[in-house]
Formats: sequence, structure tokens, C-alpha cells
Amino acid sequence: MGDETKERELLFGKKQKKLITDPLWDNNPITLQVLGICSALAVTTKLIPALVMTGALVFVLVFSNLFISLLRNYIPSKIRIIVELSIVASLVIVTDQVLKAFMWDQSKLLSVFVGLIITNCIVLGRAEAFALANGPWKSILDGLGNGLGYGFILVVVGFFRELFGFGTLMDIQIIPQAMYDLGYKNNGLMVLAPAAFFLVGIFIWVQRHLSKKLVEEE
Amino acid sequence: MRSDSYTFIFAMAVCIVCSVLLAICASSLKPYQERNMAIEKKKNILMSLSLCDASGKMSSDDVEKVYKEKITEKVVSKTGQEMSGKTIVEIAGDDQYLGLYQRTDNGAIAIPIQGMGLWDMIKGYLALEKDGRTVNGITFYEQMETAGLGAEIVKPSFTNTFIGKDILNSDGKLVSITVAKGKASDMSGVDLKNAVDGISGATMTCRFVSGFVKSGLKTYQPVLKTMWSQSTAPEPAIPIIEKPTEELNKDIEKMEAGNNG
Repeated sequence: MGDETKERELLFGKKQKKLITDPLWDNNPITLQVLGICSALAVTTKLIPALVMTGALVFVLVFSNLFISLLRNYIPSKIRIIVELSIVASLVIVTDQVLKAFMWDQSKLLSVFVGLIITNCIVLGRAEAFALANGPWKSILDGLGNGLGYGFILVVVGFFRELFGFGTLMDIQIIPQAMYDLGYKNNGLMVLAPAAFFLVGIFIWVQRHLSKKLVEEE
Repeated sequence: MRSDSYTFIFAMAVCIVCSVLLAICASSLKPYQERNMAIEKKKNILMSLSLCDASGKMSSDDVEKVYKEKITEKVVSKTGQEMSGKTIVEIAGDDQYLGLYQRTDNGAIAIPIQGMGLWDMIKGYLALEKDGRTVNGITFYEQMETAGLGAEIVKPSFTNTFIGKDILNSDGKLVSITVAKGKASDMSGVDLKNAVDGISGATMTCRFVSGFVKSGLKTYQPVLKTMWSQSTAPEPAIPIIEKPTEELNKDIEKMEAGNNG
């Protein structure tokens, strides 16, 4: 009995939970570390691609962290980055192939951006900064946390862009026809990449307003 | 510090493991991807023949169904002779034969067009109306052009500009459709009905598209010639009357009244 609780604490202790919750808010990869911005601008025109992209990144991040963490004591430091990249690249290709096989329309929409997960700074960043120095379980949690932190921003940005850019959410009409009849128009800017840039900026502002500890001292 | 041979062996092992896993993954998913690709091709044929909305929103079952109902696949010889008993699948890779897709209800045809783009092959379909000269639609289902520039050729904003254009010039010569560098109206020596506006920032891609659309049409010229001759044949002397004579007379009266007014 005593052993069991100890075991569980090890799996989901305070520290472990923090690994998942930290990247969601206090150390968000997009709004605080400012990583993975490129794809955040590109795939957030609508909610569905944002969700698919989140799924793809979480998968890649969790498994790359896991494999790199498992191999961390064996990887020769000279070829460290190349080994990490091969693992990440293989996972990305698998993801891309699976999407092409089972989610054809989505994969067409995401086009190059699934492939570009290879260059997403979050993935290699977490591998270098965390997986190389920590055990497999913690690395999985870290990957999950960062993937979800990234996805959280994507979904928020995608929500506003789809709502105001297309008047829909998840491709379902939200803004009623009556509004359009009264002269309401979809905001064309929301469909373009700069809108995501503004939204991420506004998010950073709101976030720092809510959590004062995130504001750097002058 | 590890020895060089360890590093070398480790690198080899990583390469082998990764490549074996990827090979397994790719080959096991291939049938699904090929099915998607086949549907995509059919959907593009439907789109070019305006049987599917340009946004491409159509479930794969619907694509199969509409395709089966509305499209006749035809095989013709290089000289334009219709070959019965051969299918498009059989003649793949044989340049003695040409495959085309005809819309059963209105006689419009879609022909495959393909050629090298800036980075890789571009493949698509060009559909012509029954007269064999008016463009009904154009689609591209495979391309690797630069995202945001050359890749814009797949967007309806570009493909829709082809609709209604003429592949023949006023002398009835095959001139194809030229994608202009910039505005079509700024081009000299080309009739506006034979040209469309280019995409800025994608001059090369546009040039390649002009090129392979023309060569595709040239290959299919024997088939098109038959269509041209049929459409320019004199109209039958007695028009086919579907309406009862009385109604027709009323129509004529109305038309005359309209003219006088």
C-alpha cells in the first residue's frame, strides 16, 4: 500500500503536474518563449486545421521527447543534433503520411506546415533543453505540456479568426444570416496572416495583465 | 569522450532504424493514400466539368456516385478515332492512345494536362464545352509550387478566370490560353479571349502552365477537330420544336412586341 502511493506520487506528483500546467500559461511556448510562431500564423485561419495541427505537434513532441530521453545516455555528443533531427523528422513524416491516408482534406489544407513541424523550434528546443537531461516519463509530460500550450494559443487564435473572418466555428455557421442582411461583413483581415500576429500580440498583453509575475522588471 | 567508431555505428543504427520504420509506415499506408488520390482526381474532373463546387466540398462517396452517373471515360487513338473496348487504365503510359472524360448530359469533355512546374510536376484537367473550344473549367490536383505564390494556381480566384475563354483565335487556329505576365490586357498580339491574368510573384509557374496547357491541347487536337467540325456544321433547317405551336407563336408575338417597344 505504502509503495503504491509512493509510486503514484512519482508518476503524478506536484512536480509532474507542473510539467504539464506550466507550459499552458506561465511558460507558454508561443507567448512567453516566442517559439513556433510561423505555424501559429499559418494554420489558424480556422479551428479545425488548428486542432489537427495541435494533434500533430503533440504527437511529434511527446514521442521525440520520449525517444531522445531514452537514448540520452547513448547519443554521442558530436552528432547529437543530427540524431535528434532524424528522430523528429521520422516522426513528422509518419504524421504526414497518416494524415494523408486518413484525413486527406485536412492534410491538403495544412499542406507544407505538417512537414515544417521539423523546423518548429518547440520540438528541438524541448529535446535540447529537457529530454536530454531528464527521464522518459518526465519528458513525455513535458512534451505533452508544451504541445498543449502551443495548441491552446492556436485554438484561441483560430477561434477568433474563424468567427470574425468566416462567421463560422468548426465550419458551422455561427453568425446568423440576419446579421449579414443588416450589413454585417466578415473581416477580411482576419483571414490573412497579420491578423494572427495581432491576436498573438493581444494575447500576450492580456496574459501579462492577468499574471503580473510574467512582466519583466525594467 | 566516445570513440569515433562508436559514433559511426550509432549514426548507422539510427539511420537504419528510422528508414526501416518509415518504409513500413509508407508501404502500409499506401493503399489508403492511393484511394484518396484517385478520389481527388475524380473530384477534379467533376470540378472542371462544373459538377462539383469549386471549394471542393463533396464527400468521397458522392464523388464516386456523381462520377459514375455523369462521366463517360473514352479512349481515342492518336488520330482521333474512338476506340471502344479499351479503358483509360489500360492505356496509361501508352502514347498511341488518349484518354478523355466526357460529361454524359452536355457533351463537355475534360482532358488531362500536365507538365513540369517550377519545383515538380503539375497535373490537372482542362475541360472544354461541347464545341471543343470554350473553356468550361481548369483544375490542378497535384503541384509543389511555392506556397502563397505559384501554389495560388489551384485557387478558384485563378482557375475561374479561365472559364469562358476560347482556345481558338478569330481565324479558328488553335492558340490555347496564355497566362500573361501581369495583366492580360497589357499583352500585345494576343486576343483577350485567349488569355488570362497572371499571378504576380509567380511568373515562372504561369509560364509553365501556359506551356503545358498548350502542349496538352495540341496532343488532343485530333479529337478537338472533330468537335469543332460538328459544332460549326449548319444548324438543322427545321428547329426541333419542343413547345406546342400555339405557345411558340405566342412567344414569337412577344418577341416581336419587345422589338417594337
